[in-house]
Amino acid sequence: MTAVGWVSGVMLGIAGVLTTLHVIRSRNHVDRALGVDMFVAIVLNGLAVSVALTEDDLVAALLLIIGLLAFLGSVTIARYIEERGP
Amino acid sequence: MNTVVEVLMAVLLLTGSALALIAAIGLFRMPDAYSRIHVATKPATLAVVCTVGGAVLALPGLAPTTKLVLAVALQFWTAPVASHMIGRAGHDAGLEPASPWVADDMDPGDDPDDDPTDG
Repeated sequence: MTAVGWVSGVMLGIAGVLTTLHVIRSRNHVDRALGVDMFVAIVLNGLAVSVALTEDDLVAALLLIIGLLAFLGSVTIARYIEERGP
Repeated sequence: MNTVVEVLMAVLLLTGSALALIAAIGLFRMPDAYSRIHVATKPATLAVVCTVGGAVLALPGLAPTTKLVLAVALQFWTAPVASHMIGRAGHDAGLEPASPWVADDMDPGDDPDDDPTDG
């Protein structure tokens, strides 16, 4: 199980770095918004992996909260893009 | 723990992580923002289902399972809505795709029955 944790962690880490690079080099706010949205999804995946490996009940509640926060953030950015341009 | 459950859990966790990595690579391969929205929604739903499924196998019992299933259900309700809102905001703000629109159903001046691909 430790090996599974390391492999998953490395894959999710590379995914997070690539997504951050995409957010940095993107030219418009739509790209940035979806990059940040995807970064939160990767964080959710990492939390789920940590729940599976540590069997910690408390982190399971974090999954709910962070999922809801990601939705609110994306909707807010979308409203601002609609008003102020891409 | 049962060996079968443990193997299934490992497969689910690795599948979810690999999907997230593939989606991150896809961000660099897609030509425009509208295609990248399609890529970015995959780790939010399919990968989360895989990794949270692994977590459910690791944490038996009613209370943790309820929380985790609710987290997945919330992801399934909110991720398509958020992606649709970002795409619609880009369209309304005038973001152009990499190749010109073939049909634009969001444009009120464009007749949806008049499809140029029909010939």
